[in-house]
Amino acid sequence: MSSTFAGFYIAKTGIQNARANLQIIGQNMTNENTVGYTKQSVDSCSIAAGSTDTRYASSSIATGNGVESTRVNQSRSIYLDAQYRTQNAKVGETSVESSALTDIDTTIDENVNDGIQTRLSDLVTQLNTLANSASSGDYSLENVVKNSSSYFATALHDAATQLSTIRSEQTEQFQKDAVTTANGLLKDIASLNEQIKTADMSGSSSLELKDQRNLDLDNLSKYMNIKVTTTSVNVGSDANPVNVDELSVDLISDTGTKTNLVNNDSYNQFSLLKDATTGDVATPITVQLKSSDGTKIYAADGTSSAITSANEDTSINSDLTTGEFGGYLSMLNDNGEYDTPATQSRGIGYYQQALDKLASDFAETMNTANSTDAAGTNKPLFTTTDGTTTTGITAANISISDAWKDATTCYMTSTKQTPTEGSGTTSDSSNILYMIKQLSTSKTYTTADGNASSGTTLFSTSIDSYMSTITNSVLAIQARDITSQNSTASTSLDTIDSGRNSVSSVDINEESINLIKYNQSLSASSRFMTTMDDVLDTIINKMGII
Amino acid sequence: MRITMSMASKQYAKNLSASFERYTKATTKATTFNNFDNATEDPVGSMKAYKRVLQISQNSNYQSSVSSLESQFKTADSTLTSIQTLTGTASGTDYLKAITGTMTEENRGTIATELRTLQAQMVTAANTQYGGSYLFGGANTADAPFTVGTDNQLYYRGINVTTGAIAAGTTATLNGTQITLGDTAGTYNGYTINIAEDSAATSDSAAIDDTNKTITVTMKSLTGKTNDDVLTALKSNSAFANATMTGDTSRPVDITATAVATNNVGQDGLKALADEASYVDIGAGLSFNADGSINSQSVFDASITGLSFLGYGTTDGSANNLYTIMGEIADQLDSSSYSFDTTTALIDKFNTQTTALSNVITKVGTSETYLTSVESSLTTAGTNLDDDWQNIKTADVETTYIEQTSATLAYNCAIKVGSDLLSKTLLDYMS
Repeated sequence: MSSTFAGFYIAKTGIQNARANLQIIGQNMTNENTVGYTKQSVDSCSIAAGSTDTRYASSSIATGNGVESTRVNQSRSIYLDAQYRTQNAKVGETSVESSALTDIDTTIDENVNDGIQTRLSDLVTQLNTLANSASSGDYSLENVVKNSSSYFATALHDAATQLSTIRSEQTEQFQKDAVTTANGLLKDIASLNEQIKTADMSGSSSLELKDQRNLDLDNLSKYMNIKVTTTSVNVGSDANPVNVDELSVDLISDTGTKTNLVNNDSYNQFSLLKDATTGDVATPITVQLKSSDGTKIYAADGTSSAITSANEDTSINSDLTTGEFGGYLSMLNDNGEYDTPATQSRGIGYYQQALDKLASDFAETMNTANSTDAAGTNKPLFTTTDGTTTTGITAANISISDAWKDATTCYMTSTKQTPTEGSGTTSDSSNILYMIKQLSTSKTYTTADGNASSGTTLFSTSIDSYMSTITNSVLAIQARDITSQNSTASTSLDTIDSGRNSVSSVDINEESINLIKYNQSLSASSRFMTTMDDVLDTIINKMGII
Repeated sequence: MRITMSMASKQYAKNLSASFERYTKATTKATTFNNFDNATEDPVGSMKAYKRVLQISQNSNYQSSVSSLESQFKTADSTLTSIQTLTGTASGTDYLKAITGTMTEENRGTIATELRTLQAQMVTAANTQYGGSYLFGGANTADAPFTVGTDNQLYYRGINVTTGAIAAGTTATLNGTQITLGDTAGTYNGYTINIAEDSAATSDSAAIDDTNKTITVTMKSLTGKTNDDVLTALKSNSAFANATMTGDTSRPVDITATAVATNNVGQDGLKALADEASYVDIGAGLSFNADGSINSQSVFDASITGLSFLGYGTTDGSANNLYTIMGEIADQLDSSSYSFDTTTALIDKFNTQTTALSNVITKVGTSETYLTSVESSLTTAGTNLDDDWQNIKTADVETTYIEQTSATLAYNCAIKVGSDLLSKTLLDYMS
C-alpha cells in the first residue's frame, strides 16, 4: 500500500506534466510560422509502482506514482530531410541554368526585338538594291551597303557584349552570392555543431539550435548535393560513458565521391581560383576547397576525400555536378560541342562561340566573294577591329576593313567577269548576286576553323538562317528542357516538403485540441489534489472524533 | 497524411501564385495577341515565324526588283516604239519612199536634212533614261550609251558601232580595270602589259619594249599597292602621261595579270556588247555555274542593248546600223555624185535593219508580259506569306478571349477559396 501522502505526489506530477505540455503548446503555436521550426512534443511516461515509497510500505496493492515528463521531442524524419536536400540540389541547379538561358534568350531572340537577324536581312536587301543599281560605280548605294554592314557588325558586338555581361553577372552571382552564402552556412553549421554538442553534454535543450542547423543544411543543399551523417561519440569515460552526437556534412558527386565539408566544429571553405595577373575570377571557373583554419578535415566515415595541404588548391569542379554550384559551373564552363570531348551542357560559352562562328563565317564568306585572287584574301570587307587582320574574327571584334571604310569610291567587287575593252565600267553585279546567294546557301557548320570536317558537327544551315537555328533549334529546345526539369524537380520538392511538413509543422487545430486536453488534465490533477486534501483532512482531523 | 494549417496555407500560396501567373499571361496575350513572345514558348512556331519573316523579306526584295523592271521595260517598250515610229517616218512616203531617180538637188537636200533630224532624234531616243539609268546601255546604264563623234560616227559606250574602234584609244582590260593608254595614234596597239616586282628598283616605273611589243610596269613593292598605283607607275612614263583607268581601281595589284592592249574590239567585240546581259534576281532560284558565272536560266536579263536594235558592224563592207545608214543616205542625197541605185541599196538595208528593231520590241513586250506575271505571282505569294506569318504569330481572338476570361474566373475563384480556407480554426470556436 502506498504512503498516506503519495496522492499529492501523483497530483503534482500530473500538474507538472500538464503544465509542460501547455508550455510546449504555447511554444508550438507561437512558432507556427517560424521558418525551420519543428513541432515539439513532451514525451511522457507513467511512473510505475514500487519506487521510493516501497521502502516504507509494502502491500500487495501497488499503484502507479503518476506521470513523468521525460523529455521534449521533435517530430522530424531524417529520411525526408535527405530526400528534400537531394531534390533541392536539382532545383538549385536547374534554377540557375534556367535563369542564365532566359538571359541568353532575351539577348538573341528576335520574336519581339530586332537584332542580328533583322540587321542581316536589311543587309541582304541593300545588297539586292546595289545589285540592281544602274551602275556598279554607284558609290552612294555601296555606301548604304557599307553602313548596313556596319550595323550588322554592331548587332553582333551588342550580342557579344550582352553575353559577356551575362557571363560576368553569373560569375559575380556565383562568387558573391552562392560561394559566400555556402561558406557562411558551412561556418554556421560547424558553429551550431559545437553549441549543440555542448548543450547535449550539459543536458540542456538544443532543439531550437537543431532547427537552425537543419535550416542551414536545407539552405546548403540548394548549392550542392550533400550528405549529412551523425555519429555518436563518448565524451565521458569508459566507466561513465556520456554519448553525444557529432554531425558531419559531405559533398557527394554524381559518381559517389565524397568530399568532407564540415566535421563537427571544423569546416572547409569554397573559393574560386583567381587570375594571378588581374585578380579577377579565372576563366574557366575553378572551384577550390580550403580548410578554414589550416585544420584538415576528414570524413566521419573515413571514406571521403581528405583535404590536405597537397590537394586543397586542386579543382573540385568534377564533384560539383548539381545544386547551384553545378548550375553555375555548367553555364560558365561547359561549351557543348565546342568542348573536347563534347559536353552535354551548352553553357554561355557555347552561345558566345556560336556567335563568333557566325561572325567569322560571314566575314570569310564575304571576304572570299569580294577577293580577286586565288587565296581569296586580297580585298577583305571585314576584319578584326584593327582593320586589317582577317583571322580570328569574332562577334566582339568584327569590323569593316579599313580599306573599305576609307574608300571614297566603290570598293566591292561587283563582277569578276572581264568586260569588253573600251566599253567602260559595266553595271554587271553578278558578284553581288553571288554574295547574296552565298548568304542563303546552306552548309554544315563544325567547331573547327573554316568548318573543317575535323571539328564536331554543329548543324546545317545558311548564314541568313543561322540565328533562327541557334535561337529556335538549339537555345529554345535547351531552355524548354531545363525549364521542364526545373518544373519536375520543383514539384517533387514540393511533394517532399509537404511530407516533411506533414510530420514537422505545427497545426493550430491540433494545438487547440491539445490546449483543451491539457487544460482539462491540469484541472483534473488539481481536483485530485483537492480531493486528496479532503481525504487527509478527514483522516487527520476527523477520524476517531465522534 | 497529417494535414496542417501551415501546409494548407503554403500550398494555397503556391496555387494562388500559379493561378495569378496564368491570369497575367492570359491578360498579356489578350493585350498583345502574340501567340508567343520568345522561342522557348513555342520553338516550332518561332522557327516557322523566323522562316516566314525571311521569306517575306526575300519576296519584298523580288517584288521591288520586278516592279522596277516592269516600269523600266514599259518605258523601254514605249521608247522603242517611238524609235520604230521614227524609222517608219523615215521610210514612209514623205522621205525614203519619196526618193526617185529624177529628184532635184533641192528636193534631195530637203529630205537629207529631214533624215539628219531623224538621226538626231534617234540618238536622243536611244539615250532615254528611266529612274536615272539609261535604258539601252546594256550592262552600263549609268552613262549615255550613244554619242556622235566629231567624225559624225556613232559611238556606243565609246566604241564605234561600225568599225569597233575605241574612241579613247588603245585600251587594255587588266585586273578588273580598263587602262586607256592615251596614245591617240594607236601606237601601242597589240602591246602586252605586264606587271613586275623589283625591290631593287628606286621607284615604280613603266618601260616599253618595242621589239617584243611589251609594256612592263615595275613596282618596287606590291604591299598595299592597288590598280591606282599601277596607273601612277604607268603615267610616270611620259608616253603614257594621258593614261586613264576605270573599273576596280582599288583592287590589289595582281602580278600575274597580263593583257594585250587594243584600239579596236572588232566585230566580235561589237557582238559581245550587243549580246551583253545584265542579270537581276527575281526569285527564279538564283544559281551559279561551276566557273562562277551566273546560270542565266536562274535570273532575269534586264539588259536591252542599243546595238541590238540599231545594229552594229558591217556586212560586205557597209555599215549595219540604222543611224549610219540614214547618214549615208543623207550623204548620198546631199552628194553631187548622187546615185539612185546606191541610195536604193542603202534604203533596202535600212528597211532590213528595222526588222531587228521589231524583233527587240517583240522581245521587250514578251518580257513585260513575263514580268507582269511574275509580279502577280510574287504578290500572291507575299500575301500568303503574310497571312501565314499572322496565323503563326498572332493569337486567335476568340480563343484568347476565352482563355483570358477563364483565367480571370479561375483567379477570382482561387482568391475566394483562400478566404474560406484560411479564415477558421478551432480557436475561433473556443470560449
